[in-house]
Amino acid sequence: MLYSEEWIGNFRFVEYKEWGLEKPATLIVGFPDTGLVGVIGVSYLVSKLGLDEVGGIDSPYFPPIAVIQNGILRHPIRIFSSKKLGIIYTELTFTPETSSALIPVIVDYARIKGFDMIIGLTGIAKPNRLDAVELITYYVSSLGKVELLEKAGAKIFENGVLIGPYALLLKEAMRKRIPTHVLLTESFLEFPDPEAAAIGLTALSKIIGVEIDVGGLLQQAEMIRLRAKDLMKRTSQTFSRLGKDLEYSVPLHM
Amino acid sequence: MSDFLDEFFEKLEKRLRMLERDIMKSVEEVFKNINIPEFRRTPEISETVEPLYTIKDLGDRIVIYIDLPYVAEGTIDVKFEDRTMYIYAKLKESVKLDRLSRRFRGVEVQEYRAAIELPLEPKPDKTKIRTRKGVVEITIYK
Repeated sequence: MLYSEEWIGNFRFVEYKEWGLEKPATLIVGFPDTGLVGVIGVSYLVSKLGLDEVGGIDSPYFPPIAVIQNGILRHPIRIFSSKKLGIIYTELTFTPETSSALIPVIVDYARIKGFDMIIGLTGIAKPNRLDAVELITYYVSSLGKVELLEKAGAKIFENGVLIGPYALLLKEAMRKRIPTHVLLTESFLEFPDPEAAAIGLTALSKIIGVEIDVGGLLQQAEMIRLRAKDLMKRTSQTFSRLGKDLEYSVPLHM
Repeated sequence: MSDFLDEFFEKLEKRLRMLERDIMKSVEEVFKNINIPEFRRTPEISETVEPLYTIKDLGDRIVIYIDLPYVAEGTIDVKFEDRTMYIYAKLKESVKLDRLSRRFRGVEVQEYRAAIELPLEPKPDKTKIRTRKGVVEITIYK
C-alpha cells in the first residue's frame, strides 16, 4: 500500500503511489479555522475535481488517529493531487505548538515536491455576517499586492491581524521564498459557512485557472452546516487558546 | 489538677485548630496549582442534536446566535425560565446518518434542542427574536 515514506522533522510524509506535477503547480491547503471555510471549500474541491488521494502526513504530535475512507486506512492529514494541483487537507485541530512545528514542514514539502505556489483558503470573521448580502474575498500574499489575485476579484487585506495556521503559513513561506497567498472570505467565526466557502472557491478557481462549479456546494449548504457542527465546535474550542479574538480588534497603527 | 487539665486541653484544642488551618491552606495552594483538565463530552448522536450557539455581550444587550440549518419553517420554539433559555426546532425532514457511515445505522436526526444558561434574566418586553438564513438571533436588553 505504501510507495514511499520520508521524515521531515517530526512529521512522516507517506505516499501511496508515485506522483509528479506539471508546471506551474499549486498547493492548496485547507485546515479547520474561521467558519470552516477552508475545509468545506477544499473538501468540495477534491470531490468536484475527483482528485486522487496520493499520500498523507502523520506525527507523534498528533492524537493516535487512523482515518478510514471506503474501508481503506488513511493518515490524519491527507494529500490529494492531479497534474497541476496538490491539496493538503485535514479535519484535525492543532495546538499552537503543533501548528508551529507542522507549517514549516509543509512549506518544506511544497519546495521538495516542486510546487510553484501555495494558496490557503479560509474565512475572516465578519461582525455583522448575518445581514451581509455580499461577501468579499480578501487576500494576504507573501508577495504583497498581486495582480493575478486582484483580477480574480480578491481585494488586498490592508490592515489587521491574522491568527492561526494560515498566519504561520504566510510567515514561513515568506521566509522560505515560496509565493504564498491566503484567501480570506468574510464569514461567520463560530458557525460553518458554506456560502463563504463557495465565494472563496470562485476566486480560487480564477487564480488557478480551473473551472469549479460551486452550485452543488450552495445546494448542499444546509446539510454541510448540519454535518460540520461537531468539527466547528472542536475548532471553536481552539480559538480562545489561539487568542483568535484579536482578529476582531481594530488596528491602532496603520 | 482539674485546672491543669482544662488548660492542657484548651491549649491542645488551640494547636489543633491552628494545624487544621495550616493543612487547609496547604491543600488550597496545591489545588490552585493543579490544572484540572477541561471536561470533555463525547458528542451525542441521537434523534435530537444540540445546535451550535454563541453569546455576545454588546454592552447594553446580550445577543445569542443559534445555528439551525435545515430547520422546518415555523417550528422554532424559544422559551425562557429564570436564567435558562430553551430552544426547540424540527428539521425539514429526518436525516438518516447511515448515509455517512454504517456505524450510525438506525439513527435519524429529527430535531434540535438546547438549554442555554444566560448571564441575566430576560424580560419579555426587552427581548427580540428574529431568524435569518437558518440562524436565530435573540437580543436581550439589559
